[in-house]
Amino acid sequence: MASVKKSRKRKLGSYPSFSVVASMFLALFVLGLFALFLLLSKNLSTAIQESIQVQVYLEKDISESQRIQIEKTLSSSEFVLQKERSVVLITKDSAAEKFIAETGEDFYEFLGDNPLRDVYIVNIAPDYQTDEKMAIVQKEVESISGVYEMDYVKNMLSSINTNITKISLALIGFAIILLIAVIVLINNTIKLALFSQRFLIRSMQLVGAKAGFIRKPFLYRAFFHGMLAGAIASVFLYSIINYGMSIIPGIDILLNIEIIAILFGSLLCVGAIVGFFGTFMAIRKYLKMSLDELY
Amino acid sequence: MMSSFSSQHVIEVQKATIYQEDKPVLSNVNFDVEKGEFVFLIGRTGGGKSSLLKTLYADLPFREGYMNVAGYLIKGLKKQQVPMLRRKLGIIFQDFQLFPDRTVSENLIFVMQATGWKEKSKMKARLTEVLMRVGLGSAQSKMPHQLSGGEQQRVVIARALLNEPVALLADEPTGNLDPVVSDEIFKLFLEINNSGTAILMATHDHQLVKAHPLRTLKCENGRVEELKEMESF
Repeated sequence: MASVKKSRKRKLGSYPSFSVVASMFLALFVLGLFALFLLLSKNLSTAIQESIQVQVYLEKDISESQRIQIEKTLSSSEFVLQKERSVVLITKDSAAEKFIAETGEDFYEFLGDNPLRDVYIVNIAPDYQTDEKMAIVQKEVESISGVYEMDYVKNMLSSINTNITKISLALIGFAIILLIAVIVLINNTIKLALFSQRFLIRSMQLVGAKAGFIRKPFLYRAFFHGMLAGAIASVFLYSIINYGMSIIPGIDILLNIEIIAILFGSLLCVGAIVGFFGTFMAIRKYLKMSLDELY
Repeated sequence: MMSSFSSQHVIEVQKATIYQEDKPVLSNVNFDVEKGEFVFLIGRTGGGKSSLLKTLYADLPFREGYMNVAGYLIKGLKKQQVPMLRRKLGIIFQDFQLFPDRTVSENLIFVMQATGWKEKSKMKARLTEVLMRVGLGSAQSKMPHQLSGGEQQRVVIARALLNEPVALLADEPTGNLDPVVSDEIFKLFLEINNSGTAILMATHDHQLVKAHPLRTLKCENGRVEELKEMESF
């Protein structure tokens, strides 16, 4: 009895910081994981779209300068993807070599000539990847003098595009539902946590503390907890990304460091903002309550 | 005396109706409490004593009648004004306990911080002052659970005195204490009253009211009446 106890036990009714941060972390982690998935599929669809190619076959008897003219026309066209190596020439000789190497059949032997044509492989800009626009592009290309024909797989285009649209819509729908779920979940966690504080809030009111004074420490804490939860979620996501990169080659092309940084920053912001406003609303509720309602 | 009538009152209630969850529990309430006066408020549990006190410190909404507490008109009082009203009052209430997770002095310092005290030295001085006044000069570093019920109630009274209130509103302040301790606490209230603080004390402690012939208001049948003779209690 003589010695005053210094240790402060965790009392029933003190603010459950750990469980608040833990639930916020889990909610943000799931959100981040989904966002990562969304980014991957977005980048994947871009990669697919950018890899859509058409073949532009040239007339057999054109001169070198005519060929260069065609290449220039193609490169400066709007429907061509604005990227390096969007217009690539495969000469009939290299195509023949490749063909012979792949099939082992030397057609020179029985044809005496190379039946292949010089071909430009052209990557198409995503904006032009509809059947209607491609038809226009085809007309335009085939009107260039020295072009024999343009070839592309018609139905693949529209099926890729409708699939990408469908999947994107579904994913965005899921993302919105998930975001709402996360906000509601964090909000409820905070409400429950503050429920344990209602008599503290009450006591402060009775001594004549202003609403701002009562609110301030709770808001600071919620803000900090939200950031902390976002940071922990980011650390976990980062290790998952690293692990993913080590086992799935090629995934690193689909993700760049800026996007990941933005994602982590957003998680911190979502945590802090939802924490802040959830606390604000919950405290406002308790501040308005009279004693009888608190029990 | 009539001319300075209202300035002499710390509480003025006229034609008031006291509600509890949309049900009127007391109607046509008329009474005043003068500066430095000691008034008992008696009546059955559920008779509206607590609701009346809660209305006085703006915890329950006040809709009908006139009510002036420490210079604040309770009807239509703005939310921002409620804390300022409460700083003029000392509220001693069964549900309004000390924080169990901090020492006596931390409890009191916290209240001072919450009510706008800034200077540490002044806070320390005031802390010592109120604790001396309730006879607990040496309890500063103790945790509430290390104190007896009577001592805890003294700290609660000390807390109510921090901002030099013009009136103490006490709801059953001796309710949970044994007779000897409750008598000591009551004496403390009398001392505080002697130094000029008005006290409105709700109680159902018959012995206490009988032993002290002070002004008494009785809540009964939806009315608040002045009790003239002790025999009728």
